[in-house]
Amino acid sequence: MKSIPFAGWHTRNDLEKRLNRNVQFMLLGLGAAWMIMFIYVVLITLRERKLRKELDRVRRMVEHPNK
Amino acid sequence: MREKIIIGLAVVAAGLLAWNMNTIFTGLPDELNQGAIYRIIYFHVPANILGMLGFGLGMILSIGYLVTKDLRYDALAASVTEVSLVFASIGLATGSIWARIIWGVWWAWDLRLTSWLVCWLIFGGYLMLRRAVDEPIQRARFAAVVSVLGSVNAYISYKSIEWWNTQHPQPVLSIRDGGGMAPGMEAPIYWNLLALACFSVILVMVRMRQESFAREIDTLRRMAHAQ
Repeated sequence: MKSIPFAGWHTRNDLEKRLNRNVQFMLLGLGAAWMIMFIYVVLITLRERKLRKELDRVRRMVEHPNK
Repeated sequence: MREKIIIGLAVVAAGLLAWNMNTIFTGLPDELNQGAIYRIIYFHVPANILGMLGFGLGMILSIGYLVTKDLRYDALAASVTEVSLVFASIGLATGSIWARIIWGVWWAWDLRLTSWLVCWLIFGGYLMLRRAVDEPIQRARFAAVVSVLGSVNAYISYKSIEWWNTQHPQPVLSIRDGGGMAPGMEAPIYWNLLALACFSVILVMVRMRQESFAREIDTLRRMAHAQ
């Protein structure tokens, strides 16, 4: 005979699923905020390095035009 | 001196953020109707406030450039606008994730969300325009005009939840006569705002230094071509 699960189990499982989803999306949201800030900091650092290199190169070019 | 200010602000921002994260996760209960997801508000609201304030400040600096023709105003406006766009992106991303749970959809084309997305696109265009125009004075003039137009849109977006009925909630914070949050839950929003404001000042200072590098490179290149 096929057993019929107690209706309360469905409700509790559904509630647990919903709560888990709620926490997952909270972590996703906060993670997205940190990730965007992190990516921008990395991009700005790379840009700074590139600009410093370019500045050194152009300075050398002006100071020693024949090299 | 600039390095010391950056380090000092970084220490304050990191300390405040660590303390806030501890308060948000261990000191506050879940919200009655929304559960744990409401904690997104502690990044969503401060990020959007900083985005809107930054676009407004960028507009004032752009007007400053148009009046004085001093390129330092333009450099500061560009730095502030770029950092504000990052915070606006955080506001849009966190809002969309929050909406998926509370509204059941990732996005709603209501006036608040749409006007803020249009604003984000305008300032994204502002940065693309700056890359596209090589001549500094022409670039500064075009960018200033776009900044003023974009900031008008930012103000419309700010007021949209008062002027129209939107899917997005009406003002919640008590400073906007919202009064929709318990004081214990509202205070960490302001502390996080302070922490992110310190962080944004650091980013603007670094961007300003990069603008001065770019100006120096441009000047030296002109000198090299003239030789």
